[in-house]
Amino acid sequence: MNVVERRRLRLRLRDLAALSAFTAVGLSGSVPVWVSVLFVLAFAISMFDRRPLARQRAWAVVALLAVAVVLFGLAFKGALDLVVAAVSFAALVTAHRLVSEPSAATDQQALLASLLLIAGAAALSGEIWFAACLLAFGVFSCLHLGLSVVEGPVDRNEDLPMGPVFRQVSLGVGLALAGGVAFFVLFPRLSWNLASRRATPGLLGQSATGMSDRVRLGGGGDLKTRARIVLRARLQPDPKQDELDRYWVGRRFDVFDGREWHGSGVPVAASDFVHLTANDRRDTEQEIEVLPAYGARTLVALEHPVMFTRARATSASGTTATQLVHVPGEEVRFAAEAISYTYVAYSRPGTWMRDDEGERTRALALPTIDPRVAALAKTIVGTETDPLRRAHLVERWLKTSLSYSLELEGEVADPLTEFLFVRKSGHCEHFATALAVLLRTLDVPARITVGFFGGKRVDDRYLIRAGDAHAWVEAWVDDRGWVTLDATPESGRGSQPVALLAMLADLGDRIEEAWRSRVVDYSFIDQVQFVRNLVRPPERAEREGTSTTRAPVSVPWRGLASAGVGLVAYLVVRRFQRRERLHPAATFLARLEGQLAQLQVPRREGEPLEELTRRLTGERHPLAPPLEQATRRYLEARFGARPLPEAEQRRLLEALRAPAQLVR
Amino acid sequence: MRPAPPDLLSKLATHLGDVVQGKPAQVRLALTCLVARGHLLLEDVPGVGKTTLAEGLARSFSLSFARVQFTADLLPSDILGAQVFKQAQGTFEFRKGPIFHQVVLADELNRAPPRTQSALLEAMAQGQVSLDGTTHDLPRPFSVIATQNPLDLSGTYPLPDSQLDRFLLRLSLGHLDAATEAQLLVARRADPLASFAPVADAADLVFLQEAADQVQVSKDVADYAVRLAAATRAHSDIERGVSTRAVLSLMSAARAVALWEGRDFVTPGDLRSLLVPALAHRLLLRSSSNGAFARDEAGHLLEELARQVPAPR
Amino acid sequence: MSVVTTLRERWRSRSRRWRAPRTLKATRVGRTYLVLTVGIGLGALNTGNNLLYLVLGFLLSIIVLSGVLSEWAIRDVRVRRLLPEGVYAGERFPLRYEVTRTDGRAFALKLGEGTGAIDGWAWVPYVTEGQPLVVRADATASRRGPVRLSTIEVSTYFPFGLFEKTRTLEVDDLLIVWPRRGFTCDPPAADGGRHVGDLGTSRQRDGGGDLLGLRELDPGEDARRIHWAKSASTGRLLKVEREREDRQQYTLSIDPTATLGDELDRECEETAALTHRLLADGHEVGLRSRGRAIRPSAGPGHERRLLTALAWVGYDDDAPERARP
Repeated sequence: MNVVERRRLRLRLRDLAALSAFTAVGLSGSVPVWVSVLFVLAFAISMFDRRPLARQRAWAVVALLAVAVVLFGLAFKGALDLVVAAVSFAALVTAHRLVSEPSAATDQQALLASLLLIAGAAALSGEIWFAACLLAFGVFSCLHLGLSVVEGPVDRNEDLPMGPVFRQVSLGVGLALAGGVAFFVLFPRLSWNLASRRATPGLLGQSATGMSDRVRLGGGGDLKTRARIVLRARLQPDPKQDELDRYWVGRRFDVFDGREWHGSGVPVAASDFVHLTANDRRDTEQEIEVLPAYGARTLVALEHPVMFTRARATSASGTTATQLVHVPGEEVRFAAEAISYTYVAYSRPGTWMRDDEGERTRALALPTIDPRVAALAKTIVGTETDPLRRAHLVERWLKTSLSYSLELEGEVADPLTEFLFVRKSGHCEHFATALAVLLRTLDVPARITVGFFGGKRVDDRYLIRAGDAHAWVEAWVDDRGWVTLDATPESGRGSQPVALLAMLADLGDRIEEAWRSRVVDYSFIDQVQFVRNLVRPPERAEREGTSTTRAPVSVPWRGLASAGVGLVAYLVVRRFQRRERLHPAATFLARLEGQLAQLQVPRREGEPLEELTRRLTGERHPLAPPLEQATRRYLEARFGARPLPEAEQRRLLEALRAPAQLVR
Repeated sequence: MRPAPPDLLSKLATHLGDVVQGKPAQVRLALTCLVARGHLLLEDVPGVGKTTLAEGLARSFSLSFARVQFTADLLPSDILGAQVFKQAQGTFEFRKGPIFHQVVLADELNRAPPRTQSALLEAMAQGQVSLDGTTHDLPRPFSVIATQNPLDLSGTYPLPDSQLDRFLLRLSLGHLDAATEAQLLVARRADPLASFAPVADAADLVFLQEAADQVQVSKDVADYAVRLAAATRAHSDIERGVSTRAVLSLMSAARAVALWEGRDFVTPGDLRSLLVPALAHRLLLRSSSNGAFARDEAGHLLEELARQVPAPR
Repeated sequence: MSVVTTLRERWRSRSRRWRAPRTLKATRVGRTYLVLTVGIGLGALNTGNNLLYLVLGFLLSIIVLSGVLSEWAIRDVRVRRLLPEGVYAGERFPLRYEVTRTDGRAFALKLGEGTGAIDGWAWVPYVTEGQPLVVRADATASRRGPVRLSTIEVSTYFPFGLFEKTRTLEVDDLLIVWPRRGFTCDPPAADGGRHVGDLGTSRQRDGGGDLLGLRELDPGEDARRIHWAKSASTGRLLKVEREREDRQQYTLSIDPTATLGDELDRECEETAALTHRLLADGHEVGLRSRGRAIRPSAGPGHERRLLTALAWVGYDDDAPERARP
């Protein structure tokens, strides 16, 4: 690789490092758009090897100063977060360095400014992609620095063997990453103040669940395919199921106007905790974390929630305790708007006994609907009089006669009759609405509940995705209380990620869960645990045992990913090694050298083939005779104008293989 | 039936190795020089076997050999020959000097005054001697092997740079390594050359020289040589890089080297192996305008250049 | 007892090896990097943000790694100087080092002299085990005199260019620095038309000195100068030319009272310039200085002997240990 190619490679690595750092902040969504545009523009210009600011040094500095004044003025006025302002400025400095005349100092300044970006991103977000950006930044910048160091303070025309350089620098990068992890694990957490601002919703994090204050029928159900994790919960006692088959109650709606459902509750004063009914020991305790992707303020708990408490909200300014607002018969919600929350909920499985006259009355109200609906209900129940059995009959009829579908385009005037009599397919909200309305025509009080169904266990937590969102029905049966009914066919209950992506999503879950629990929430207690495990190895061995049983799931993905990375690396190396004009014999040389490397023939760095052959002959190496033959034929073909046909090439390479096996 | 060039050459090398012990690389280069029709300059302190090498070369090809000791009072005519008045016939007759031999050893060339040196070197370059209007052809094959003491001995006339250019290769034998020297002391015979028999003849040498002429140079290799030469001219420490004649002689030496491996084409490796012996003495270094540290410096610079100029592959 | 002694010896040698002199210096980017690391560290401690801890972890590990990898690079390096016979003060000269790796490979080494009298450094981009590499430093010696080179500083910025780690190797050599040249103006030529060798005038070569060469006898020349043996062999009358007596012998001397310093250096420079001129004119030059004498002679080798002697003036009586740093 000559000087020019090495220089280009170094600049590419520098630009990529800067881009990784900027991506880390950019994805947090807090940087102003114009800063992002400027940065991406500078990156693109630099990738095309243009340096428009190489001459305009003074003007660029003046412009940067002006921008700094504006940014920090905004921050001073409170219009802009101070961290965001600093990060934006760092991004602009980096961008400026990318399009300035490249020199050792410029490159280093670009990387240091990028490091500031990374630090800013750490303060601004806590998503998994930060880890990816950090990794990329570390790798690219270390490679760049290593190559610059080997290049030395002056430009020389000497050819450098890039293989060993890359090997050594990559070893350095690998060790640095491992060391970084070790430092992270062992560096004592002196501060108990967990002020991590993993709080920005991020560019990807706009509200993903449909937990709004009304349920409107119609439209498609693309929600079901979303794999974003919205809730994480730790259950006590732990049900130890891989796939949880329980309902997470979010919000109840009892007023239906023919097109949409809404609640009728009236909020009571906010308080630190909400008791829905008397607590008792059999309750399931849930520590729930609401992630930014959730995008709503409704508290969620397993069926049936009895108490919510210890709510904390994380906003841009930090984590604080928050109060809860109870809307009886409808929901419990956080009093304060924030980006993410944590709280503890207690639930009691079984039926919901709390009887309220008003609730029951409201659960019977019907809007003016198509008379065919009431007729249909009559037909389904026939002569059955018991309300519970009637309800089950309707539920079963809906489940079996109608089909589940997410492809529902367009608005219709009367979605319910459309669903029951025309399309005969719909998603969970249609099924729940139909069941509730049919039951109401039969004088069974019914309301719909919106929440989640399912939950996937990763480590000791259950993850709930946006696609797990669900709607179902609660019907009042005297002496039994509110009975949960779900008319949606089983196939439509949990999330329905696209099949091909399912495994990927699974892997993503595991990584993200590991990131959150092992990195973002890593604490002094975990450190103590870690050290204790080091001191008591048997327990650790057992842990490793469990982890290996889980490993095979991700092996194919890991293999695919590493193959992809390898391919990219190979292409990059190929691109930089490509010569302008290849002699036909050069391909033979490449194959021959490849085979020699494969056979682990000891070869000095930069040793020409002829000298290697001469040396091996002198050492009476068993490979020497065939190698001599091959070298001779190569030289003849290359410099003696005697072509080397493909068949002979293969024969020569083959001849080299036989004695090699003898050596082994 | 004449053996193939590589066999012939290796036979000669082995044979010469008996008298010049422990110097296989130098013997190889000396033979190469002869095959390339070049003249050889040996630079060394006395007593390391320069004369033995020269005489051994001549004898192994059974070539005629003459040794001229260069001194301050040596005249051109002492080398070239002179018109002698024959009193009996009353006519002038040309009496040939020692240069009319196939291998001439010019011992301690730098002790003779420049006029004498240049007489020899002109004869070397033209392959003939012109005296008093008549031209006398020198015998073929013809090679001069000159020896020179390193310059820090006083009372010498260093060869001018233009004259150095006439030598194809410059070698330095150097001292023997300890083991070989000890072996030499044990096995020392009276005169190693006394029992030295020829293994080839002049026709063999001509055959080798003609074989070397047939060796092909591909365009890539020629480019490589040109790039190397250009690099010496562009180097900041080199006052005057190598001339076109130098590149030509480098290539002719490379052709001869190719014969050792029985090739009929030149490889970049051949050029690299000859870079220092063929070019080092032709460089004029900036730092050596006073002759201060010329010796190994030129070799170092050439090795650096060989690392920097990418070879075709 | 002997076991204890052996162990002690071994411990001592090991501790000597471990305490091999090393210096670590942050480069400019390294200093900024350290400031950033401290800043991020304070941020992490202050907020307890685990991601900042993660970044801090990487930054710290890179610092530690720089120390370890640079140690790998400069360990197991052997360096030898290839010194020229002598160098002129104030002029750039090639100082070559032969670098050998006894184990593994090294990148990005910088070689320089430990003494301040020589500046300039050499760059080793890459050296691997068993392949000695000769690299060149464009060095300059500032002042005349013998310079004792006792240490070579091997430093590296490897792996990330944040720190420069330097190791001092003890390699003893003596470099002779000749007086500066081109510094003194030539005195006006006393007589034009003087040349050396064959091209000189006959006046210069008609003396009774050493044998200079042979020439045909011109009509009217002294017949006593005929070289009879040569004349007989060539059939022409040849005359022996001898060097004339006016090819003079000079013995220059250095003022013994001058003290070491600029004054003496200046005097040596003038003497060197005069020597060069006289030798170029074909004279023989000798030197006398402070109890040291060189007989008059000529030739390039002799000039270098004289230059070396001039380099030693003022340092003659110094033991090598006390040679100027």
